[in-house]
Amino acid sequence: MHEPEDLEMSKATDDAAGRRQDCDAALRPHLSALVDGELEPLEAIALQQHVRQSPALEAEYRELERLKMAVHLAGTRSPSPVALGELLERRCRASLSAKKTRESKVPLWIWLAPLGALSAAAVALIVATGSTAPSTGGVDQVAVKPSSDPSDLVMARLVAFHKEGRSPMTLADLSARGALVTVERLPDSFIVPEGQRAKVVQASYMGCNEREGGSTLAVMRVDRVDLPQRIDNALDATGVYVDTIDGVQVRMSVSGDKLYVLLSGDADKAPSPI
Amino acid sequence: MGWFGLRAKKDAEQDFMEKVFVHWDGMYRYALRLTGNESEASDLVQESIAKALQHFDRVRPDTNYRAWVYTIVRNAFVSRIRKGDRLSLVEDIDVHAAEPDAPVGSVMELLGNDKFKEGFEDEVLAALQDLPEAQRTAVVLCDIEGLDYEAIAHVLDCPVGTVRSRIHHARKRLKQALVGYARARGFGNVESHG
Repeated sequence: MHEPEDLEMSKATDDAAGRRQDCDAALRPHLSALVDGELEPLEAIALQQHVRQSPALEAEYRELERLKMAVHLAGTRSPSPVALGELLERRCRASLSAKKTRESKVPLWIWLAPLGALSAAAVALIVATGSTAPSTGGVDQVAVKPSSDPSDLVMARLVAFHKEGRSPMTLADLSARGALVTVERLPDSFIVPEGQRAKVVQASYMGCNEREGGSTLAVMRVDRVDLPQRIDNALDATGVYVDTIDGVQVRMSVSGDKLYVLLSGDADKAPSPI
Repeated sequence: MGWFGLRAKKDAEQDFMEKVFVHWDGMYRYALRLTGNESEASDLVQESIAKALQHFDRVRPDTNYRAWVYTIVRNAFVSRIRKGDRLSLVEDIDVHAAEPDAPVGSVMELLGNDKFKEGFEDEVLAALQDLPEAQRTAVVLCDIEGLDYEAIAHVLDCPVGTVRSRIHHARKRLKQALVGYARARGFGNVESHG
């Protein structure tokens, strides 16, 4: 038979659990905004504190992060057709030029008439090139000329980290100022050879930091990293930047306030475990 | 400068290329997610660029051009739907407001399983395609194109709070879809959590 004190304690425990569930339910709809960095600073701090104290909310927060990354990678895996971009650019320049000289409106039919032909040409080009896309995926089509300037400090450091297997402590200052969210070694199977594209969504589940060779994924806060203008321009314009620096393939993409940097190839030696 | 101040003609070409045309491939990605079809996406982008070109000299200089071009793409898409080109009507978010949370945790854990990973991105895209258009737009512009909620609100012509709600509900539906995918692939013991 329970003593009255035991019953009261049990009831109090049940009440506390019930309150936590109520609280979790009330906060759950705000997790997406937290993941997207869209809460006011004080809201975000308060919610982060609660998330840390609630295993259920924390698990859901992590899932939302992974889902966001999965959507980003799935949505950017295929390149936009280069032929379409070139055709659009030619037509834009021609229309603007005609507009300037004639000071008259460009009739819509100039654009609409050849739509069928243009799209057919674009699709044909996709078919022709799609199956042989290089490992950089759609990156060759980014309207930025690849440049290999290792003097770009952050990039050069990440490249060195990847290539030379440096200790993560060499990036500690980036973490300290909030620029580096995480850096992970990825196993060789991280890159799907036949698809020639990265599946970052797998990163958290594939025994990261244990591979010899393979790739490196760095997640950074885009507002806390100083990038060269050409990279900023490419990211602003297309959301993706690809380059080869010192023999290392670098693929950068932005989602929300996060900058994802994937480095692969040409690792001089096996990196030390993180 | 008035709300629709005219820009200098001599800069028009460079201005348009730098502020509007640079977004063409983002427009294409968005159009592809709207139409689900490469050919139609190409048509939609061309139509949208043409419209942007027509109206560019009447846009305020401080306009968020990135949000503006996505707005044009979406309006062109919705216009096609209304003209009965094809596709389903835009669903309203509130229809799904009472949906239970999806059982998702163990699905995401399954990503560590090689058999499960195969075709996963295709499944994510298929799940995106099944979302109501407004939810799909919110998630695509947020997660794929990296727009903030304010810019997405501009594209969807709705309050920021509505964008937040749409993204929340869209992600719930995406997770539910992935549960279905896991079960269809033979991972039958997916447990509810979250």
